[in-house]
Amino acid sequence: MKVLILFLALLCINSLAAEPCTKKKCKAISGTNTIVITISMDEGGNPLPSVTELLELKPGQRIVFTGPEEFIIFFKDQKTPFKKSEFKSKDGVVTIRIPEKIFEDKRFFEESYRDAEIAFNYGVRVNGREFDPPLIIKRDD
Amino acid sequence: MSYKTIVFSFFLVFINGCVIAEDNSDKQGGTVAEKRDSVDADKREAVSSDSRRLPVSYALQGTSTAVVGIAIDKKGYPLETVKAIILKPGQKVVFAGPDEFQIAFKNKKAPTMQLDYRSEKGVITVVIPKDILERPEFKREYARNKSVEFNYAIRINGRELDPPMIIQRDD
Repeated sequence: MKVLILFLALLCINSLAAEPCTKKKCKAISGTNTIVITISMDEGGNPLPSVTELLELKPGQRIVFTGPEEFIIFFKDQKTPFKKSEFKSKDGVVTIRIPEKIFEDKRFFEESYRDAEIAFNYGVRVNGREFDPPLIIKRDD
Repeated sequence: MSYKTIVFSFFLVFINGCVIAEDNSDKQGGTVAEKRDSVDADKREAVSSDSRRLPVSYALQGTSTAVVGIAIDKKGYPLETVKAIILKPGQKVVFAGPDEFQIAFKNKKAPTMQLDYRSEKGVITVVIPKDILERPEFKREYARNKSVEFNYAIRINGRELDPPMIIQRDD
C-alpha cells in the first residue's frame, strides 16, 4: 500500500506559475489556484491517477480530481485537512481545497512545527479498487 | 459495437482574448495605441502558432471524461491548454482552472439546452447527450460536414476567449 503525502513546506517563493503535471510532479494551472488530477482506468479496472509520485500544493489551492463517473477520495487514519475524510464524486468530479490556515490548525500544529510539513494519507477508490499515490503539497511563503 | 465519435476542437486563434482583438489591417498610423495593437496582433499570431502545437484531449483512458485546463496569462486573459477535445456521445468535458469563469455557447446553439455554464468551485462540466448526432438540429449539419460546430466563449473577469468548437463524428 502506498502512502499519499500532503507535504506543506515553508518556502520563500511567491510564484503561482505552473508547469504541466507529470507523473512525478504537478503544480497549479498557470495563473490559477487549481490543480487537476486526472484518474484513468486500466484494462483491469484499476484507477491510475495522473500524478503518482509527487504533487506540490499550497494552502488555499484547489485540487480537482476527475475521470471515472463515480469514485471516492478518502483520507486515511482519521487524519484529514478537512472535517470529513471521504469525498464522493459528483458528476465525475471531486473538488477539494486545502484550507488557507492549515498550518494554524491545532491538529497539525505540532507536526508542522516539528517537520515543517504536514503529511496525510489518502487514496482514490473506484469500483472498490484503491490507488493511493503520494501527493505532496508545498506552501510557498 | 460501433461508437460514434464527437470531436470538440478548440482552436486557439485568439489567445490573449478576442475582446482585445482588432482589425488593424487598414491602419498605418504610428501612435502608441496602434503600435501596441500591432504588437498584440503579432503576439496573437505567435500564440496562435503555439496553440497549433497544443495537444488534442481525448476522454481519459477507461473513462468518459476529457479535461480542459484553463490557464490565465499575466494580463488576466484566459488561455487554453488543449487545441481540441475528441469525445463520443455520452462523454463529458470538464473545464477547470480559475475560481470563477463562464462557458457561453453562442448563436443559441449548444450541445444541450443550456447555453451558459457558470463554474462551481472552479469547475464546469459539459455533458454531451448520447443522442446528439441523431437530433434534428444537428443531423443535417453532420451529414453535410461530417462535423457539428459550436461557437462558445470562455469568460473570465470580463475577458473572453472564444475559440470555435467543432464537433464531428467518426464512424
